Amino acid sequence: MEDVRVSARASGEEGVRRRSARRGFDWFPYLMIAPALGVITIFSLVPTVYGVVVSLYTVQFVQLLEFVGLRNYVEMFTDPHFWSAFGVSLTFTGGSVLLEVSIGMVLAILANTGLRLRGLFRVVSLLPWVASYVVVYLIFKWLLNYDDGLLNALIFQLGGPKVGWLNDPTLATISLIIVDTWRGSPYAMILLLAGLQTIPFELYEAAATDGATGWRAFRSITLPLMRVPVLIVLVLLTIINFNVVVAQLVLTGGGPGRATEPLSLLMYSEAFTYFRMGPAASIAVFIFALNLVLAGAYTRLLRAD
Amino acid sequence: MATLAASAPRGRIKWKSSDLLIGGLMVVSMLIVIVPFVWAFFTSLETQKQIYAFPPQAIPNPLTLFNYGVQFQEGLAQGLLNSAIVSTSAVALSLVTAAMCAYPLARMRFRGSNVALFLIIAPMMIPGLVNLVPTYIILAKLALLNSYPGLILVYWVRSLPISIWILRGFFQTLPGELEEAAVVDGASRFQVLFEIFIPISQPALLAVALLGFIDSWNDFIIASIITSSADMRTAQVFLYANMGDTETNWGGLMASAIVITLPVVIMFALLQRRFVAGLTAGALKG
Repeated sequence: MEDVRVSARASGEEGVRRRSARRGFDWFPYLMIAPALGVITIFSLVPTVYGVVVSLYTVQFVQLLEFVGLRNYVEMFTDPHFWSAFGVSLTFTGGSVLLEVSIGMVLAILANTGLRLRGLFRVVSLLPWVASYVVVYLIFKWLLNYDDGLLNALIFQLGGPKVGWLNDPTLATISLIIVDTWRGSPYAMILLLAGLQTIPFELYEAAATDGATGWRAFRSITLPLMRVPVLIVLVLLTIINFNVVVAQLVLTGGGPGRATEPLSLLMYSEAFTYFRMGPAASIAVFIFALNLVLAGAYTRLLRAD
Repeated sequence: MATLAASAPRGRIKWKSSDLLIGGLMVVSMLIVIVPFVWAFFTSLETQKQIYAFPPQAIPNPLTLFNYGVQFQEGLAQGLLNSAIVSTSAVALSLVTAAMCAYPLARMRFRGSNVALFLIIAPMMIPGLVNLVPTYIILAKLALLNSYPGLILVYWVRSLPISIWILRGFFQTLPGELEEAAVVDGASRFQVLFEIFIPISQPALLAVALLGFIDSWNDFIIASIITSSADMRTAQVFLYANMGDTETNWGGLMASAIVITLPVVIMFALLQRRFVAGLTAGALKG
């Protein structure tokens, strides 16, 4: 009887704990977290560490042959393909993120209005995100097709010349960024919308009574309060875009030449087309290090919120 | 914009020009989103001759389902089946283990819970790309390549951190009286979890299931390195493999693309509100 009165008074968890404290060691929490955490450790965390190990070896297919220390890294940093891929990664990521956050912000503001169209707008806007990478980039590969694609057809109808959207290095890069923006802006919109909705309506009301409405209110209320959410979204999108592979794989295959081959694609083809696992692993570690820096910024920004 | 609503005279609804502008922008962006899909759909209903006709017709006439039939015969059906099996299994495993894991982390204090939290957050900071090579090697050594278990395992692990995170967040919002009442009734903690918490957590469970399913269904990279035979391919890999270099069957490709996207779109349309809540729960709340 004493148990029941104690636990009825205390919060649920303390009551539960007190009961088992009398019985000895409480297995329950450990039993419950074991399956999930066990699997995570073995198949997610261990591989990361193992990846670093692999990068220190020469590897034949899946056999680690010889420990070579940092040789893979030296070869990587002296390989011009590595640096060109790094440049492609930076260009692609920078362009995509900036566009996605800007457009996402506009979309979020639209989605935050009182218009009844808002519900349909939100659902439709998420369609590019819900379709898979392969599907999206395949559809655009068709749209941008030189001979028969929709875009060139429209341009031709308007009297212009057909454009090699995916054949010219610069145009291909731009095309990639724009398609990625098409796909990524909705995701940015959703995240920024969540931020916008935390701004209390009363602030706008108060500003309105002072005569500040529309653009003025946006500048004085919305922008400052959205500063941290926008930074968070920036970092999040940078991480996502830096690691994109499928976009380039499907749309251009990294070409023409290697003009649109980012680090992620370089790693993928080194590993799974040429089966050079050692060098691929060193590229992966480099990508990981970059991501850690970005993730650090992300966590610090989160805590500042 | 809330600001614009505030600038309207109190108590009166007026058609402001700014509302028309906003509505117009919304329509334009929705069109930008939909046009590519619509075009793909029309292409899928055309024959090769119609596709390569230039300039292309706006709406194909006549329509044909020929492409769909061919795609299904050439491996689309098998691809869909593989994707379905793998995604559903991964989600099922994830739901059970994530709920089990989230419950103590949300409602109990115990030694090592901080370590547990670290183990959940750390994988979220590691991009999947980084683990591709080592995971491939490990799976090769475990003879799990080109198999359902191999794929299911990787997808399961991928979805766990965010699933646990969302469920933990949700469990934390449930009132303590739930457990007290159950304890008074003599329920064991297993019963509290499975017979009380889980039935009440449907929105969160739904969000987790949807997120996990979409993530697995839409994945290409992982499936591309794990599967190597045509009969094990998931739908996405099938689609990519059909791209071809010279003669591209655009009609067929678009048909497959549409079919592969439909299940997810339907699921999403039916459940979208809870899905959005599930998405933002992890990212911004931290």
